Amino acid sequence: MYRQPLAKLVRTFGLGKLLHQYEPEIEEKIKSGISDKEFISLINILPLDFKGEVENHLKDLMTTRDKMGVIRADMLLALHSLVSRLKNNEEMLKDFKLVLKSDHYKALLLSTTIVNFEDNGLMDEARRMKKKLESRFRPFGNKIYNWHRSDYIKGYFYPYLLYSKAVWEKSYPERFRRYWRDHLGFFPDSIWIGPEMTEKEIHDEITLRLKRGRPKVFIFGRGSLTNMALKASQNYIDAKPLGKNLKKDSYWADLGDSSSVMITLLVTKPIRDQKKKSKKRKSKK
Amino acid sequence: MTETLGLLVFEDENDVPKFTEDFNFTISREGYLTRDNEPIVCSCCNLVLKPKNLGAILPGSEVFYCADETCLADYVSEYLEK
Ligand SMILES: [Zn+2]
Repeated sequence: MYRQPLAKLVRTFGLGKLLHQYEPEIEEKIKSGISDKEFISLINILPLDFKGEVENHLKDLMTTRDKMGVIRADMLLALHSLVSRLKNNEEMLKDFKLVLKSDHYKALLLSTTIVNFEDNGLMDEARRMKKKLESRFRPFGNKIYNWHRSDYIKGYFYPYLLYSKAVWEKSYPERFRRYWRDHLGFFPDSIWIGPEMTEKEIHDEITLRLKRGRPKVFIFGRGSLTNMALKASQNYIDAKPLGKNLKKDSYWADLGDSSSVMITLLVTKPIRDQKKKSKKRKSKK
Repeated sequence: MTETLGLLVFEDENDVPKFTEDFNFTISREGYLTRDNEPIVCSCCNLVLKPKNLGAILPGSEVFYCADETCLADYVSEYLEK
């Protein structure tokens, strides 16, 4: 079927263009003490430093053509990051893969990569990939990224996933999917400020959660939206009727080249909304 | 178990003609990647592939991807995890 042996490919490109190794021990050697970006450029000169090992692998690879492929240089960083994310969170991601719809799982995988880029200071790469995530997986991609960035995947959804598995056994995937889908529609505790949101919309989101009896509301703002988050929540406390029942707290975090803020609005006095409830009942009849 | 996969890194579209034969495809006169006269599409997003938008051919050479990182997530989740 293949007219040329793959050895020809190697000859065409030369050893210098080879190769991406998924062998953890080699990867560890290369990666010790350097960032992902440097690792990528090292892949290209790998044969110089690891000649013996690479030549052995090469022999293997060339006799089994099923193991050889090509990749464009500017995709390598993304691939490496995806693979390393997968390895670092193997168990958790596997569990999610079993229950989530395929597109949601892919968005989750990409989100872990974007977060990884951000944590390693690769902000341009992170931004570019985030744009693609948003357009490709509209409208849920950005939400899943936000959950991941704010540690909700590990700290909120994953514990629930394990819990549902233990409690509902066979029916847990369906139940967990419903839980996930409901949260994509409305996240009960938290608001992530997006660039398109107006202050009024933020206030409405806060009010909605308070009227549903949430004991606290978290507001996340990143980069240029940190000021918006702070201003909107302060204005809510100063001007809105329910604001006087709230106490505000802010927590700052650095995120590569930009900062992010998490604001907690803690309910200090119970909030009741009898009027609206009775109205609703009437209209139902 | 970890598996060793070799990925040759190519720089840009100019490199693509160098490996058409090895992966058993041709570049049509209109500039599309074809195999048995059928256009080759990205396994994830179905984009018709040209040398310019070819991102990767996976080990085994049946699976082609466009140059969009979100399609690589498909590769990682569909193929590498097994
Ligand atoms: Zn594609």
